[in-house]
Amino acid sequence: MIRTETHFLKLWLTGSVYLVLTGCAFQSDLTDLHIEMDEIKDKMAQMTLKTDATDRISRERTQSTSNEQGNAFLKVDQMAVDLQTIQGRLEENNHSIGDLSQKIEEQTLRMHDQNSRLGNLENQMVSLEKSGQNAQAPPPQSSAEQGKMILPGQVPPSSLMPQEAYNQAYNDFVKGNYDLALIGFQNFIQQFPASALIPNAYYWMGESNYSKKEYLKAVENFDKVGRDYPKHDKTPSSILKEGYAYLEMGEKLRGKSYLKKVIELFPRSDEARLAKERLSLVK
Amino acid sequence: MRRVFILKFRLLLMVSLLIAAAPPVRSAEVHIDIERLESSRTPVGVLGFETEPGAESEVKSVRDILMMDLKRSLAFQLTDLSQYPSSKNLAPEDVKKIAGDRIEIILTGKVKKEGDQFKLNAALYNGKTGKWMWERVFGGSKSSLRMISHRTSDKIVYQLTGEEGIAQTEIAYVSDTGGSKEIYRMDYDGYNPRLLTLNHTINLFPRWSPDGTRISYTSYIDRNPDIWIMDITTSKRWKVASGGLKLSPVWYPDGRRILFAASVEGQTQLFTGMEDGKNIQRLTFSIGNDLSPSFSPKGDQVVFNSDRGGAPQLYLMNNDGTNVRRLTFEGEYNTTPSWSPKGDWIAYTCRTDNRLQICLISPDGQRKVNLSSNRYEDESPGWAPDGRHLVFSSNRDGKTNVYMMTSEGTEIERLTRTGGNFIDPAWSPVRH
Repeated sequence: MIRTETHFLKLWLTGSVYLVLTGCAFQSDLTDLHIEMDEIKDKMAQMTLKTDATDRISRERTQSTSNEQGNAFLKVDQMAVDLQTIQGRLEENNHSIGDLSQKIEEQTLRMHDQNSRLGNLENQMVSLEKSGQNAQAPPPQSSAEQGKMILPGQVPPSSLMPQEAYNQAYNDFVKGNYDLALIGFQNFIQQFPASALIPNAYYWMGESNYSKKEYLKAVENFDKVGRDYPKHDKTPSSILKEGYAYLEMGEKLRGKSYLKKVIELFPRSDEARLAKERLSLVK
Repeated sequence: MRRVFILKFRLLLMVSLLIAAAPPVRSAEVHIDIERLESSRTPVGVLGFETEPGAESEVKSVRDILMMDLKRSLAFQLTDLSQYPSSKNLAPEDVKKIAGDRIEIILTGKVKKEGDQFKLNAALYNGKTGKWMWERVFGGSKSSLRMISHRTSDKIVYQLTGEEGIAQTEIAYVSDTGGSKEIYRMDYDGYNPRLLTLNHTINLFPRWSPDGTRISYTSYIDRNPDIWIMDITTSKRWKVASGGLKLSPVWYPDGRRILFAASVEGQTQLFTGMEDGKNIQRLTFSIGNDLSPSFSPKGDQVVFNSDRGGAPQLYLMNNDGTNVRRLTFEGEYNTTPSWSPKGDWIAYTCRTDNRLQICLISPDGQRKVNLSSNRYEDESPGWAPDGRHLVFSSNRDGKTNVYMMTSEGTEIERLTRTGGNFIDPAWSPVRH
């Protein structure tokens, strides 16, 4: 029964991977894929439960015939391998979806840029027509200048694409340049407020603050992820690190409450296990 | 069914549009800017070294070693000017004449013997003005002549570039030369190999502490793969973690804690603990085997390999075990990661065309470079503290030996020379 489900899941995943790899999606299609991924995650969780159950059953059966025992163990081993394979596919799917989202984001930005250039060009032509044969009209701007024209009140566009700007800040964080990373992520948030990487940026700002032992600021940034993006994959880590930050500030009760929150909201996550370990150490 | 068909159609349509609108893809060739360009290296002319009676047979080797060290620093373009002898009374006009238009720095040297001690006097002159710039004297016994050259090289590198040289660093590795797998250390250029363990069992995964005074490793000395630390300054050894499988210990940048892999419930997971074995805590809880951790320069990120997704791939996490995310998605075998001292690259063993090779990936996963040719099995890369060289093991000469190369995959040099197999090299930090 479980084997059939695994096979079904594999087919389903392969289908999804095919869809993702053979083309880029509209935003709505991506949403559909996300929903499908969530369903797959649920199935995986169910499978894990069933694996545990099978494991239990197989252990109970150790008292019966040795053949049955061997088969049961083999089955469990095979299921563990299947589970790892599914986990790998899920990671690859997520990676592909991330890539697609970035491409769509960049493409959208390019289109906006093109539209704005066209608009500027039209305005220039209209004003030229209006000025007629006015010999004192200023010479038209070069196409490069037209492209860079910024209307009053507009935020100057970054010369970097969202992914480049994000990576630059992330690489600063990895190199330990926390101040540069904070500035980079802050700029990224201001310039690309609609980016799918916004929660990631807040998360890494929290990590930068945490590394600088600025625990209060870390809490603010981690809190933003946990509060505004409750289903994001950085959320369990954000809540856990918020708890760690409170513990570092000596606020044990508050810290413990965040550790418990991770366990309650994401019981099967690595962060929940880390929270349990930490709770056992906090007196 | 209909929904899937429509979705597929829209996806295919979208991909066509995107391909048409996408900017031209840049060349797959990625330049690594961590190695100095040949053209940006300072041109240095090395005059013939002066000598005094008693040191005639040593002067050539001292000069050769020093020139090799300076060449390996990748900071200089060396010109052999042995036709011009060094002299204490070099006039600025002589220096300018020897240097010509191209050479910016002139290096002179003198080796002399005083009792049983040898002394190397090295001096630098400005090739453009002819003026004296710098001078140092280093001395020692005959057996330390190589070290005298290394020390002189590091001082020159620091004087002219402001960066630490690597000529006095060492490499630890595992060899089965004597029958059992023991840990050795050697000078960075492969000379002067010395045994560090001799317990006639299996010793693996040597890793240097950040100050270069201790080495962590896995040893079967107690008939179990346990984690040990040895202080190489006192030869004191102690067991940090035992029972089950304990592998690949690495040091936190603070030099007080280690991170290692240990078996638990049939899987290998990552644990952290103090160097005295206290306060051991589990960091990963995956459904696969987590191994071979390596720290980012500041120590707040860890790269490791795990088969939690079915095949060994590289993953990143915070040093407290939170925020695990996958880094590599190409290939089905990516292991033994090593984070560069500058933080911008992670070297690792990748498998391409069924061959183990050395690859680099940026921590954001955006850039990837394969440094190996596909004819040999290259594996277990480790960074030199200058971030410009890598050490690795390879079977390119038949048996497995230890080699170094630049971070662009060039200037490959075999370091181990005797029989046997040499694996799992680890480059020491610069000691102060």
